[in-house]
Amino acid sequence: MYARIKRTLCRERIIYYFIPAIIVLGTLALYPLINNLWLSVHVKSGQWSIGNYTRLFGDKWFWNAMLITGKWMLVTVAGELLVGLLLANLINLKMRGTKLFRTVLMIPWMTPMIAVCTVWAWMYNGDFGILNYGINKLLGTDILFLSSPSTAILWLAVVYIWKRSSFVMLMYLSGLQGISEDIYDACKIDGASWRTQLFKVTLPLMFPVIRSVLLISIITAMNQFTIAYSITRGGPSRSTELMQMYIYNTGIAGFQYNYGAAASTIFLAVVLCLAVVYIFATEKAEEDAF
Amino acid sequence: MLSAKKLWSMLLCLTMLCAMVTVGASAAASEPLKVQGEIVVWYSGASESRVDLYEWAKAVIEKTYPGTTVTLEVIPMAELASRQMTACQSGMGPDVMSQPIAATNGFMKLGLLEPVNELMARAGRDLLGEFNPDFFALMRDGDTLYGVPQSRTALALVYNKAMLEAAGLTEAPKTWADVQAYAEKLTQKDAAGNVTVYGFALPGTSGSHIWYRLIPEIWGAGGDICDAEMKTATLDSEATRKALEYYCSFYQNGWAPRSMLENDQTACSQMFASGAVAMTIENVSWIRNNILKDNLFEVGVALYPGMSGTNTAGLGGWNACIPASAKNKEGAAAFINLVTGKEGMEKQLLMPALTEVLAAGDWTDSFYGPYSTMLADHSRDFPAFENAAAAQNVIMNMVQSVLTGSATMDDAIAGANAEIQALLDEQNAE
Repeated sequence: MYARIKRTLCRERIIYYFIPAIIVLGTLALYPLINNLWLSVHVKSGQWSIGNYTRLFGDKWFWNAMLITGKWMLVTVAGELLVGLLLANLINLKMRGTKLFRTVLMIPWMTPMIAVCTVWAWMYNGDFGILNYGINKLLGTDILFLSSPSTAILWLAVVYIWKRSSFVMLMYLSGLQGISEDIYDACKIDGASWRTQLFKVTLPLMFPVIRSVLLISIITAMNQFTIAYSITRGGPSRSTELMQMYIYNTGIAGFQYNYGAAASTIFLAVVLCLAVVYIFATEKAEEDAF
Repeated sequence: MLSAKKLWSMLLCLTMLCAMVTVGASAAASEPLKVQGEIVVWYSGASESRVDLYEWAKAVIEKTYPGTTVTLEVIPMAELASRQMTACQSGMGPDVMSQPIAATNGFMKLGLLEPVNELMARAGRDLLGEFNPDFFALMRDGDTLYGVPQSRTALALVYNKAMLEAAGLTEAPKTWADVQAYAEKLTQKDAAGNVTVYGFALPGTSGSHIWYRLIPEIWGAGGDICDAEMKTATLDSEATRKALEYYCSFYQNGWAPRSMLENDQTACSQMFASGAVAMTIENVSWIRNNILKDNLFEVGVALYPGMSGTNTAGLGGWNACIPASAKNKEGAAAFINLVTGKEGMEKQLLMPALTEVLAAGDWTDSFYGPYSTMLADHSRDFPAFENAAAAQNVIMNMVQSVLTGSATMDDAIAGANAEIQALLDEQNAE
């Protein structure tokens, strides 16, 4: 009997290696997730109810936050993809000073987000911000960066792209440096143009990296909170109220824990669906690329 | 069948037992506090003086009651209310909570606070006798009190004396019309047409900052955000229209900073301190800490101008409370006794709440005098919204919609009224 148990334990011991991870994940991810779900289907008094969800679907500010988050995701992910790729290509040129340039480019990424937001908020200020001062001196006009509900989100996106691009650049750079020089040499011998090399060699070979980085970018952008909270507080007229901020305002600052939990559950489902759709869609594209 | 002797013996025992319980209870009510163990205190540390005050109280407690330790935990102001609420609801709260007065009512209604009458009486305090009884309006249920006032403030108008004198304005504005006329006169431009000094600054962001500055204007115009029973929203009124028109007129006429939509009151006050703004509405501690302390310039203080006279300002300030889940309630009471006693009150930069200290000479001079008058004669509590943050956001959104032109004034007010009504319905349904 003892020998059999011992044999079984020895045979299946691989599972033991997962136990710490299961404990940590279970404590830090699974339990909050289940607790959040439980909260969302109860009201303050503790009674079971789906009232939080029905209320949520009629809440115009929830949909407003969802729409703004969607726009935010599109602008920031596209922005950091383009800027990151451009910077990675520049760094990959192997010219003198690129190491220094690469280090300098990492500074925004290394700077704490709250410090970045504070500085940018001051730079954007319509009365004493350096950006407005410069524009006024050069062009004799003013741009009230954060005072217009139609453009404030774009100026916040600039801060986000500026901050995140160096991380994205680093990821793309690792992908670029993984492409063998021999392939480019062969292309040159075959007379392939710069454009052909980019679209037929670089981008297809970079596709796995781009695919992963894009997924990270989408999830990170959708979960963004600090920029809107610290620069515009969601204003003006709730035009920069991202979903995370909406959840914070209703659930935490507004003490409506159950309602906030329902909002975050719906949002989690949206992000999850988006991620799954993205993974399946790009999987096919990746297969086609090769 | 019980004999008469036995019956009398039983009655006698019962009487003695009742007498012992009563005597025991009254002795417990009058016996001094037993201070021992650890006292955990959560406060915001929002100003230097508050840190000094709490450190002083900690040192006194630890010296007076050897073996007792006081653990001070500074919580960032922005997180204070939510952190306290979460901790109290999960039964993991501290022993002492310092909180803004707007928060206490909600905690009390949810049953998260310990009554303080008996505990403070054992510390030798007569709360209703020592403080203005109105200060307890939102933290009492009949005779039961749920907190001790630590400070009370009411906003007033502050102005740069030299700027007013240079513009030939010899006295402070008293009404809306005065403020608008002064703001226009005080706004200065350079040769290129760029504004160098704005006449008046009001916040265009931060819910609580706008709330404290717009609701008094609505009161001043004869309106309110909701009825006294807090059942019906009354924001959609002529008074709100007038107040909102007045509030936004400074921005729309170029007398307030063009960055108004980006500025909370701290930014407005920083512009005032730097000489870029001539007048604003600010509390006593900010002006004292940031302008008077460094002697930047001479600040004039005037009663809060209303539509046709002095406005009624909304009461602000701090309370010290004991969570119902506190583990060391007697120690907490001893700590609160120190912080809200005469010596503690004198260490505050905020306006003290204790009548005896407030009436002393320091608080009646030309700088503090208008603040004291506002507090004593022209202040009231804001309606006690359980979800105060949401109500404040509704008001902020209404102001921003008008300032940005994204909604007409009527639409902005009607939308805000509907949202306030929804908050009231939710509050009354619970």
